[in-house]
Amino acid sequence: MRPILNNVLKRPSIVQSFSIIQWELCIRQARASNLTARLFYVLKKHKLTSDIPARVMNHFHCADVKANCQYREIHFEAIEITKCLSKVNIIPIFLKGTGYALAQTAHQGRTCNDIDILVPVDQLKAAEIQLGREGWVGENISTYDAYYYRQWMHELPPMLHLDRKTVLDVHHHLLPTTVKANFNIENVIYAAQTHHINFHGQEIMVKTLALEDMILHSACHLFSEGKLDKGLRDLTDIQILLEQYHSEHGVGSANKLLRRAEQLNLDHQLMLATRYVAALLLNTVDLTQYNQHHCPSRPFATIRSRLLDWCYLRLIIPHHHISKRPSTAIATILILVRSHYLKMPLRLLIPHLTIKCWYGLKANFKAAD
Amino acid sequence: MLPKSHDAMRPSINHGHLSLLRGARLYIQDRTLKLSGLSKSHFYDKINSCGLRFKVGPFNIQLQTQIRPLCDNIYNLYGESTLLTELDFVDFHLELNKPKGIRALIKPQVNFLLDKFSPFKPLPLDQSCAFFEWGLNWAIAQHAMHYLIIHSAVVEKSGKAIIFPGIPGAGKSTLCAALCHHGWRLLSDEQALISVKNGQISPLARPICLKNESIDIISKLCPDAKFGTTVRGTSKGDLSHIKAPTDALALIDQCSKPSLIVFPQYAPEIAQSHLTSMASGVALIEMITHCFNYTTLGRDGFNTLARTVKQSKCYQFRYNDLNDAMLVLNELHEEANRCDQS
Repeated sequence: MRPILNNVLKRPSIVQSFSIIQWELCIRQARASNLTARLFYVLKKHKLTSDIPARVMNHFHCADVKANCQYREIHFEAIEITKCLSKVNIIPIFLKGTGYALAQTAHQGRTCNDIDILVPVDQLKAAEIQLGREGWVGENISTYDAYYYRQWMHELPPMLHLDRKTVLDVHHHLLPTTVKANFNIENVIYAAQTHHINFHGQEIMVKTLALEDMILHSACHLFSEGKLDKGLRDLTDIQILLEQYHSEHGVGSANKLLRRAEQLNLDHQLMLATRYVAALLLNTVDLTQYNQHHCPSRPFATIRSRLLDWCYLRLIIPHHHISKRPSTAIATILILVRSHYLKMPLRLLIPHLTIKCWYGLKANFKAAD
Repeated sequence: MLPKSHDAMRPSINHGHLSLLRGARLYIQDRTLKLSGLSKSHFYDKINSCGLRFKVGPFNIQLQTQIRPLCDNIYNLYGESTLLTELDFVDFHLELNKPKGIRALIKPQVNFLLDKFSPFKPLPLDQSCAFFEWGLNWAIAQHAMHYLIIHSAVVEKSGKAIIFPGIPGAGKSTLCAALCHHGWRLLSDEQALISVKNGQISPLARPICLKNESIDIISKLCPDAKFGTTVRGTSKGDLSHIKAPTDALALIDQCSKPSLIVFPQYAPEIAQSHLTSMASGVALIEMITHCFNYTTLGRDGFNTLARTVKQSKCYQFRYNDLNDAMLVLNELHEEANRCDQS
């Protein structure tokens, strides 16, 4: 049986016949997966809010208020960061949640935990120093973790603003440098779009990814990551972004997007994303073209896709204990292994896991003392 | 399911005036069941296994715990709360339990979980009773954006509510405990819930939290106050909760209009209580620092707070002796009443 939240996202009109108990479970699952405000948006879009009982409405209202507050805060932070880096002639590109808010796409009911920016790799050092001057410092992490970030990851260790406690991830690529079939990031930086935003009377220019790259980034994030805690939310992002893309580009959108995906070696991730959007969400865009797209040179394609289906359909669920089944644990492990396999060659992965294991044990013993 | 025997059903009073309540014991037929109406064994069964569902002010909560002292404390302090059934909507699913692992044998701890999510680090096991109250404070402050929530005590008499905002240690709980055992109705000890929609304060009527010396002072001043377990050595010192008075729970659905804002400050060095009038602008700025969700609410936060301050008289209040303090506040209340009538 699918979790109630999945059922609502697939067929929102079912809320019309919800009992108060079903509402309760739905709110719990949405709250645990950071989806309450997004779900409220979906229900508003389908004009289903008059069916929401008052007590339930309080929770939707709460999530909505919080999302609106964060939307304001994101604009403030984005301006601060853009101004800060402009002093050393660096133009940051805002990614994920921050990018959606600035580009006004898929920002409806979207919340995020941190701010993500992308800067060219040759400006990374200068960006880090300049951010440090204005109060952004590295979060307290172990020496090994810091080394691992700098050596192999596509981002700096998370930075924290001393006064505002905002967390900032500074990326120089969208995928770890160890990924086998990686793409040239300059391509993405070149295509970035500029927005003029007005914040309390001051006009400022900020950059985000181009809409098509936003879709591909979200897809590659969701289908390369080992953890799918926010999988359902990310999938709703992709769905809204796809809708926007298709309405902007009209006929031939799918072809265009597929071509871009091939260019960046992300066509498999795009195929998976559209496959699960079609399977799991109520969707108005014609996605058949994506799903018919076959990625070449993949042996055992059918078995692979069956296995991935088995895993992802179990994992793209609310991050809530009532929605989990025994097979969820198996799927979690399989996807975790897959993500590491995609991310790193074994000669790097084995030493890394050994060291992490050792530190984990040490921390455990310390806690017991 | 809940027991259906008649002796387990206690009458509950949902309306009527305060003075009536004190005069005679009214038996209004009502189908709601109080927590104290459960037999002790039934209560333990519930709270230990699937969780006990009951009302806390405008919120519905479910609490599951196997920690015996916490269960006893709930039974003693929340006895007048209305029980809920499996068919009621629950806002917060709370759980307080011991974390598993080797550590549990050496230094037992307690975890607070909201729907299996733990927002805090575990605390020593003997602080369970305080942890439940703190955790519930957090859950309310995080999830009730239809209220502007102010860190303050609130009491009410004849339709006029006094808000006592204050930093911890200002003496707001002590003052609140004294007042609500001397003719005032307790609305809240910790959080003022001011409706964003209509500016009215919703009663929460949870147990009042007393710290350190206040525990002794109140037990002498209010002999009818019912104390829960005393928790020693918390980050705030020793603390104990007293049960919310019965009338506060009987009138739990009756909201109140804010009329007075008094910033209390316990000042042992002064001889007499001292009340100073405050400009509303100054009071507003000061109030902002005591709000839990002012920033999150944005424009609604400002409008609600401005409305509250505008319709209230604001004072700074330094006091030493509680009897004297109550006298001053009663006079203030009467004066406000006179002003309204004239």
